[in-house]
Amino acid sequence: MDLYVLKNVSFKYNDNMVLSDINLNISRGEYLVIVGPNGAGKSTLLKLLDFLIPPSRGEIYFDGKKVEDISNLKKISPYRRRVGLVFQDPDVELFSPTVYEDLAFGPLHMGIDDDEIEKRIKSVSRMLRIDHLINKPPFYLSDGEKKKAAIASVLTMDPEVLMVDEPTANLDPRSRKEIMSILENMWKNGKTIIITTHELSIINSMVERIVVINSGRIIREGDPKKILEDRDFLQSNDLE
Amino acid sequence: MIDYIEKTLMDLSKYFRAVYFSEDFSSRNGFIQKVNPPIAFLVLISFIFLSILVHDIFILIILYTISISLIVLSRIPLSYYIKSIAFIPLFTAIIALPYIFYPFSQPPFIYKFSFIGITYQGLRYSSILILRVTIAVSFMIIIYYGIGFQRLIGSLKFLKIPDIFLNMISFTYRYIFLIVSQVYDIFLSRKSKMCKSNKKIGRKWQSYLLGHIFVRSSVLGENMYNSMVSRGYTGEIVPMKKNKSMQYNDIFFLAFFILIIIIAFVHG
Repeated sequence: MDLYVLKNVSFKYNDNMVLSDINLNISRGEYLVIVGPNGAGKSTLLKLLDFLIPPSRGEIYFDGKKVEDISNLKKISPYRRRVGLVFQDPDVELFSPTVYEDLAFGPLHMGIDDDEIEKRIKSVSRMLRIDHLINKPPFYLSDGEKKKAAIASVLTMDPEVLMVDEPTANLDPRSRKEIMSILENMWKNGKTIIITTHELSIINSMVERIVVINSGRIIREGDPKKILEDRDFLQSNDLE
Repeated sequence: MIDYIEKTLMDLSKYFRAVYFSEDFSSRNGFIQKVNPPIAFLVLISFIFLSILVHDIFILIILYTISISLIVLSRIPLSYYIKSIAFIPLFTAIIALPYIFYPFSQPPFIYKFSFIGITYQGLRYSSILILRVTIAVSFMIIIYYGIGFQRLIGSLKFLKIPDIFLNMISFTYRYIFLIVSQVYDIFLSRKSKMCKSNKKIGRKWQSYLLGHIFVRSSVLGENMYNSMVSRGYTGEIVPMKKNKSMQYNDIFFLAFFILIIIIAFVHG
């Protein structure tokens, strides 16, 4: 069964149609990349998938259940704890005095006990190799370290679905490689990975499906190899 | 004018960085850090109220000595403390300066100029005011740097302060540093494009900057809120549950300092 089913989903911001008639199914354990030029509606789609904003029209099903009334934070909480979104700007995610407290924020709000939080923070920070940064204030970190800390702050929630908005934005080649390898490991460990990007170079052999969005519409989806080889298509959509 | 804005932004940015950095003090192995945070908070806040109620200079000096001792015992660097509060007693002294002549033109004078002079009563009033402010700020420093922000919020929650206030404090605390950094970056990028000073253009871009800050702060606030909601925030404050249960040393700390507070209140 599909984890996500989006039926004719549209999102309107004031009078601007940001997303139109999105029909998308995402399977459990899938590695999906949403590709599109700047302003295509990729980040808005992730916010819809994280139940942060309600669709203006259409329906979203998660694990077979229709997701409704997302403004009720307590009611939506059981869905949201299964999904983690890493925002494009890590600064909005790292707002506590120390990285440790940022990593603890999610699990604390899930009602997880202190010992388990401590365990998760240790394990995630070791896995992402940020254990030496744990007691530092986030603003002392480099962009790559901030991105890793932002991912860690979501991983401590141990979500089934990990969504990362523009994972490699503003990163140097080494940090890019590290972040992508973290995501691959997460996928190998059984998590559903959904990322957005406009950088085609980061799409590797692990990626199972690409969804191309432009001007708020899905214009193509399918096998990454075929799409990446279609130069004319990529050029006409400002992706190359 | 532009230099003034630059200096203000730079100082604000530096200040908030220093405030964030100082969180490190709350994790040191000091005296206040070892006490149960709600107990420490209650005792320290009582000292602040006491400093407002006490009129005896001698008692105020003792309270100030206690605050300095607690700062040293809590391993908060004295140099940091002095840097943080130095301008406050100085500023209070400037405000209190006219009081040293009170009651005006009425003897006995300590030192007479012509028709007015420094009176004993005036000097006492000003000293009390400066001491009260300095003591209150010193204890605030111990509360903030000794207990730490997260445990402070936890203590306030423990003391049944409504979540709405705690949310406001937490959110402001989280948000303010980000906005100051962003505003500073915007300022620098604008400055890099300005080759020579032009007052008219300068004023124009100051107004643009204000508008831009408003929009940026609104977007930033929304994104931060979304990132909190995305990680399970439901409007309820969940503090770091590192508050230990009550120990013997907490009871001793509470009893000892309550005794001091009562004695000081009765005598002061």
